[in-house]
Amino acid sequence: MEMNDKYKRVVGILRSARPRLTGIENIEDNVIRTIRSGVKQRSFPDIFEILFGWIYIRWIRYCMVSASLLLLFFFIFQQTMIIRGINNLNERSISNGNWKVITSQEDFDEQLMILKLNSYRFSKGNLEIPEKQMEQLLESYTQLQDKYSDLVKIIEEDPVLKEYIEKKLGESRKKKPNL
Amino acid sequence: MIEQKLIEECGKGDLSAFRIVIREASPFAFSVAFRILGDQELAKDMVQETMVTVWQKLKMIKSAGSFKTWLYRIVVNKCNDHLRKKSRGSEFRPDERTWALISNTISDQPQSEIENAELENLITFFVQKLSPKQRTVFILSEIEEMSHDEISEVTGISKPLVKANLHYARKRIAGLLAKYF
Repeated sequence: MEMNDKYKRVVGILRSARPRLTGIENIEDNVIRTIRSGVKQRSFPDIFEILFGWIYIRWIRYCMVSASLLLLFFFIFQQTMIIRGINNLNERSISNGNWKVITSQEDFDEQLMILKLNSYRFSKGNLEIPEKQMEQLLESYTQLQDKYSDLVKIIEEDPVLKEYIEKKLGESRKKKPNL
Repeated sequence: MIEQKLIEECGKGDLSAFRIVIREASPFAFSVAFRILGDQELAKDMVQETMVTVWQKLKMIKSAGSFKTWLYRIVVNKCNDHLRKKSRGSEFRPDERTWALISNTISDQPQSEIENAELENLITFFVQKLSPKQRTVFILSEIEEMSHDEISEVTGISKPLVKANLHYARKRIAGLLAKYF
């Protein structure tokens, strides 16, 4: 017998051999008993079906899967752009009008050396100071200002010291040559 | 099969009308459930569950014409849920008597009427290697003689997938036949 004939015969047998349902009365009674025990008819789908019934609609399901994938790709793209932006900001120069600070950690010592060799004359755009160093500089400046105000206060409170300093300052002004 | 008037009466809560619906619809539901599950008692349980669901949702049916497809959908979904929940069992190995029965069944000899128990073995043997989807599509297409459109509506599987599943189901059954007969 050919394979195709065998297949057809099997299918034919399964098709013609209709299963006989016995004990239909039992099924009927059980169903009616279950219904009487409190199963209610519904005119509208329940809240679960309203909220999540759409998952059984194929095209909506496909659309939602596609949308979630798109969102995922968009999220990854956005994160990459943000990271790139942050890195770019780290490299960006800060200008105070007179000179330019390029915040790059590399070659700071070298730049500082060049700055010293140039007798503290720095040209626009050539000095690179890392952000951290800038913060340290500002912090030291604030500390120095605080100490200066303390010193002024001490001098103000001590008339002898004040007189002595004024005298010394007067002397140093006299010594200063006129340019 | 089921008249619109009967559905309307059931919708009003008439249980005696629903008894008629159970009597009319249960054999169809049982036939599909039995062929998908290959188990008589399990199929009966599925029919019971299906009928309770039918009662609950009968008001949502718009026309009697769509009742059969709707009924099939409920049964198929319940059977598939069961197959999904059921852990993969061991391979069905027919004993000597069952083996002889299967061999005789597919031989050239004219076939006498098959009992449910024998049919259980036959179905279990031939569909054991099929996935729930392939099994459902095979039963609905080859045994229940539904069109691809109807199967797509009942199962919620797209038409190309119905065709693909049917192709693989046929191939596997042909493979079984080639291996054993």
